[in-house]
Amino acid sequence: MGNQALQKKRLFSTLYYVILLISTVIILIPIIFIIISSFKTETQIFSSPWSLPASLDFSTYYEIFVHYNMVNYFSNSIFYSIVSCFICLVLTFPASYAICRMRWRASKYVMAFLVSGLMIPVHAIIVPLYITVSKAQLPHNFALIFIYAAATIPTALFLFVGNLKSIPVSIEEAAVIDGCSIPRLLMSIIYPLSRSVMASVIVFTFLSVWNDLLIALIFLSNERDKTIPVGIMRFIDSYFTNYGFLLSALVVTIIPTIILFAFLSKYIVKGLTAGAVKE
Amino acid sequence: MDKMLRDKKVIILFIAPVLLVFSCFIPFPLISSFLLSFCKWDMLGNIKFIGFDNFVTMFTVDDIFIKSIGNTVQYLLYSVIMQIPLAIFFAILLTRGRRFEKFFSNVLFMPIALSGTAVALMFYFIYHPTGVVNSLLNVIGLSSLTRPWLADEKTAMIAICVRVAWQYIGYHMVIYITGITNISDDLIEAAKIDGAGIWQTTFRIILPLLKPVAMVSMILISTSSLKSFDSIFVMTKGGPMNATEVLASHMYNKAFLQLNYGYGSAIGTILFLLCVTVTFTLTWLFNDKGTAKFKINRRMK
Repeated sequence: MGNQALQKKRLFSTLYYVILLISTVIILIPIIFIIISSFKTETQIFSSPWSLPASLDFSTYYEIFVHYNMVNYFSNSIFYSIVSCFICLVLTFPASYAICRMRWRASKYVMAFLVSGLMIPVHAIIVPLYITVSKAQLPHNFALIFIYAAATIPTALFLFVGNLKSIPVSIEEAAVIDGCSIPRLLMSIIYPLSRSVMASVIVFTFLSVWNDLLIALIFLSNERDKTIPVGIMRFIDSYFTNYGFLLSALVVTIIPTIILFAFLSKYIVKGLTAGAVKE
Repeated sequence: MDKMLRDKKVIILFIAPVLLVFSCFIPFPLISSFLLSFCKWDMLGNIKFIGFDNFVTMFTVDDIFIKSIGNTVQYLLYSVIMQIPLAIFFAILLTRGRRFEKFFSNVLFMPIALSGTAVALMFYFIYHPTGVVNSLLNVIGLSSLTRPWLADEKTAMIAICVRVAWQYIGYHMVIYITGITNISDDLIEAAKIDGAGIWQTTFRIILPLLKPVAMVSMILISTSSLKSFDSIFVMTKGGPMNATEVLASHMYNKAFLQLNYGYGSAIGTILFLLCVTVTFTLTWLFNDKGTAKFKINRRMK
């Protein structure tokens, strides 16, 4: 009897890990596959999909970086992500304090107004934004940064306010008695206590900008300004697609994110689900 | 302290910038988009008020619009069917306190961090007529099933939804994992003491108490499906024969390829209204006894 139960338990345990291993393989196989294929020659990619590359052919990697602006796309993506992330933080962090702690009548309504932005899909605002920016002849990349910052305000604010609610007011009261002003209070007391939520906000805003296609696609027509998602679209074409280039471009797009994820998984999981669930 | 917290100057300094940027870039365009829905915008830049004409055209003349609504609903249903049960399944598997749980949940979550465009392009390659999927089918002797997955009207949408599921199952899984870890251990212990097995605990205790997080996950999957654009634009551009044309891609075509701004705005407005309706409907559907019970449990805890 006891033996049977033990056997059943062991079977269960094996099954458990088999299921999880299979799902791991399903997640990783496509990625490994494009990495291997990216080193093959154009004909080899489709003629012998299951073989290993005959030799490590880095020529396509060289090509996309040197002749196909890949460096440019990367630096643009990094620039837009960092700047809009920074703007979003500078705007929302003090605002969260004013909304959560300071005493004024409209605070609740302002919060509701700002958070209502969570419900607005970008599709419903993109046409007038595009027209206004074009008519006003604002530089498109400049406008893009502000659109990204504005679009991430609701989530960032939501997270910061939630965090502030969990910090006891008594610490701030003690600091104020010692003669601390509000802006200093924010920097020297609240900021150190908000590091983890700050990390979540940074991850969230950075990745939303980094991965966005629609807004960048509409606003960036200039080759010089394009981000990675818009830029790598050039490698597929309805008439002729150079799969060697496409795959190399994909590998250099995907691998940095995976490496970052390996080191920062804790913050990335938190940052990306932070708007959805509370810890 | 109180006086400092009422300092009008500081409040304005903190709030005015965020209000200004947000209002200029979100609510203000939303209102103009709404107004633009009732206008015709010709190539010369003349705006003419035409009342409900855009909406009438949409539902009576524009076959592609009607089709794109159907396709969007299809996309939503496929996504829910492919993702939610698996997400719950993995969430339950990965909250049993076994070894390597963190590792497996991280692996399943990882695709979310990747760029949607890159993932779509990756699957574009995988679905290639002489690509991996078909060659795999040939190898295992199912050559009859091979087809150009994205160019076949019958399979294009399913193929896209599989790619979406590949990326998003982990996201919903993490939401459900949070839900399960929030269930009080006492409750599960008590059930065990009363003689409930794994199945009973899962179906009678865990699943019913997941209702609040299920609401969040359903709202997220529905609104993101309504807004879906990246995979469609990258993988099929709405084809073959408009079989994968969805609201967002149709809006993009009308507004930014055919430069019909008024009509594009009208589709955007419909999309916004759909998102709001779905969010409120789901909130209303999920807010009954189950949620109330959950709240009581949390309060007792």
